[in-house]
Amino acid sequence: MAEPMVAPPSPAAPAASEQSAGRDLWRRFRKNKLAVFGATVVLLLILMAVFAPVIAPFDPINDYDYAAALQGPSATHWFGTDDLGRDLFSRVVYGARNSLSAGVVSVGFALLVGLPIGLLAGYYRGVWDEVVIMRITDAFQAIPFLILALAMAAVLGPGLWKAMLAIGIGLTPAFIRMVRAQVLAHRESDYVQAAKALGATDLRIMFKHLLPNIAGPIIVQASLATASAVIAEAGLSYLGLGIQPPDPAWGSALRFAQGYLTIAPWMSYFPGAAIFVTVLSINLVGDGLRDMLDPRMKNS
Amino acid sequence: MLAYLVRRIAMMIPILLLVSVIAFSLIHLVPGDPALVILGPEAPMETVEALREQMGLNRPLIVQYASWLGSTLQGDLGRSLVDRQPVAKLIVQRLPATMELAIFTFLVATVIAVPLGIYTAVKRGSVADWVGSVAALFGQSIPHFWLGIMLIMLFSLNLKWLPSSGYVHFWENPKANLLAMILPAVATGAREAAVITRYLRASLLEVLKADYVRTARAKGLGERIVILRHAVRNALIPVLTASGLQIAGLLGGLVITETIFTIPGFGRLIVDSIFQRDIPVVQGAVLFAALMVMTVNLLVDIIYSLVDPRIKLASGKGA
Repeated sequence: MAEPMVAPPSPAAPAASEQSAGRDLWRRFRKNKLAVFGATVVLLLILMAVFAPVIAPFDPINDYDYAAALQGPSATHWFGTDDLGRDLFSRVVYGARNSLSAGVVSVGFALLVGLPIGLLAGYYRGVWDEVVIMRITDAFQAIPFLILALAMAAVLGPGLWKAMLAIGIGLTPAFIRMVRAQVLAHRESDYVQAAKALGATDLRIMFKHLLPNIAGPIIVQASLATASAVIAEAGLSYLGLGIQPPDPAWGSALRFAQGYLTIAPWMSYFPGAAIFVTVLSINLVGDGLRDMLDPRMKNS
Repeated sequence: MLAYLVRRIAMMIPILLLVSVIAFSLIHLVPGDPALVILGPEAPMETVEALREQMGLNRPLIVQYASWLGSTLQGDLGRSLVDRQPVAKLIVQRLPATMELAIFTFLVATVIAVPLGIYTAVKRGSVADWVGSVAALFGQSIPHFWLGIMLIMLFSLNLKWLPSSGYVHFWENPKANLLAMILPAVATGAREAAVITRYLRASLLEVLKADYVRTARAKGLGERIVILRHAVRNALIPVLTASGLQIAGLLGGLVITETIFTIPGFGRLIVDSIFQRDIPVVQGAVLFAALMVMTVNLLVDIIYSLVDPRIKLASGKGA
C-alpha cells in the first residue's frame, strides 16, 4: 500500500482520440488474464452481495435450529452449520454485503477527503502544505493504521459504520500524499501552463485539467486500498469491534469459529476463504490496472 | 552524519506532538461527557463525578492537554483506570513479547523473501517465476488471522507439533518460548514475505539491466557472483526502505496475532484496554506505537546510508 506511485507527467490525451485510447486500455487490461479473472470474481461477489436474499437458502440470522447445530458440510448446508444451527453458507453470502461495503465506503471516504486536500496542497504549496498538511499526514502515518482504528473504535464503540469511518480515516493520509505528489509532478506541465495562460481559474485547472491526468495512479491506489480495507474490516470484526452479532460478518465468524476448531473446523474454513478470495481478486484487479495505466511498471 | 541525526530527530518532535494531540483528542471524539462514555450511561452520578475529577475533565481542554503532555514528557503516561498501574509500566512489561515476535516475523519474512525474490527475478518468465509470483500474491492477500487459525488447526490440533498458545518468557524456558513463537511468526511473516518478495523481484529486474551488471558479466565473472555480489546488493537498497515502511503495518498486524495466539504483548494490551474502555492506556499505547514506528524508520535511514555509500546524509536541505 505504501508503494510510491509517482509517474512522470504524461501528455493530456487529445479529446478526439479519447475513444480509441479507452479501447486501447481495455485491450491491454483484457490481455492480462489474471486481472480479468480477478475482475470476474469481484463482479460475482458483488452480484452475490446484491442478490443475497435470492442466493442464500436460509435466513442468516433467524433460521436457527439447535437440532442441526455444528453439522459438517452437507447437501442442505453446503458450508455446514454453526453452534446455533444456522446455515453457514447463507451467513457467508450475506457477509459479502458487509465486507464489500466496508471496502467501498472506507475508500470512498478516504478519496472524498484525501483528493481535494491533496489537490489543494500540491497546487498551492506554501506553508499550509509543507508545515501543516504534510506534518499532519506524517503524524497519522506514524500511528499504525489498525491501532488507530482500534483506538477510535474504543471511543466510538463497535459497529460497521464506525469501523468504516475508522478505516477511512486511517487510509486518508496515503491518498493525500499520493495525490499531492502527482500534482507536484504535473503542475509545471505545458497543459497546465496553457490553461493558466488562457485564464482558467485555479479550481478549473485542478479539477478539469489536473485531475483527469492524474486519475490513473489514483484509481490504482483506490483499488489496492480497497483490498486493505476489506482485510482491516475483517480484522476489526475478528477482534469484536466491527459488525456485532447476530449480523453475519466474515471476520466475526472467524472469531466464533476459533472456539470450535476441534469439533467444527469447517466453521473457520469458509469465512476465511471468503475474505481471502475477495482480497485476492481485488488485488489482481489492482495489479492489472497498474499494468494497464502505467505500462512502465509492468512486470514489477 | 551527526548533523543529519540531530536534524532528523528534531524533525520527529513536531510530528510526535501532533500524534500526542491525536491521542489526546481520542477521548473527546464523541460528543458528550468522556466520563460517561467510559463508565456507560447507567453509572451512578458520584462515580462519574469522581472519574471526571481524577482525569481532570473539569478543567478547560487546553489545560487538560498541557498537563497531560507535561507529565507524558516526564515519562508519566497516567494510570490505568482498571488496575491503577502506571501506563508506562504496563507498556514496558508487555514490550518484550511483542519485540520478540516482531523480530521473528521479520526473520521469517527475510528467509522466505530473499531467496524467492532473487530466484523469481533471475528466472524471469519461467514457470518457477510464475509460481513464485502467484505465491507472493497469495501471501499478500491472505488475512493473517485466518492463516494463523489454519496453522493452529494443522500444526497444533492435528499434528500436535507446536503449541497454539502458552507464551513463556525466553529466560524462563527458552525451548517453550521458541516453540510458541513459530506459528505466530509464520502467520504474520507470510504477508511481509510476500510484500518483500515482490519489491525485491521488481528491484532486481531493474538492477539487472544496469551497465555495471553487463560489465561484470563482460569481464567474465560467474553468473552467481554477478547476481549475488553485484546485483542483489544494490537491489536490496530500495527493499530496505520498503521494509521500513512496513513496520507500521506489521505492528498493527501483531495486535491481531497476539490475540489469536494469546501472547501477552503490547497489542494484546491495547485490545484488552479497549474492551475495558481504559482510555489512558489506549492513549499511551497510540503514542508509544508512533514513537516505535518513527524510531524504526530512523534506524532504516541510518542503515540505508551505511549500505549505500552513494547516499550522503547531508545536513542541508533536501536530504
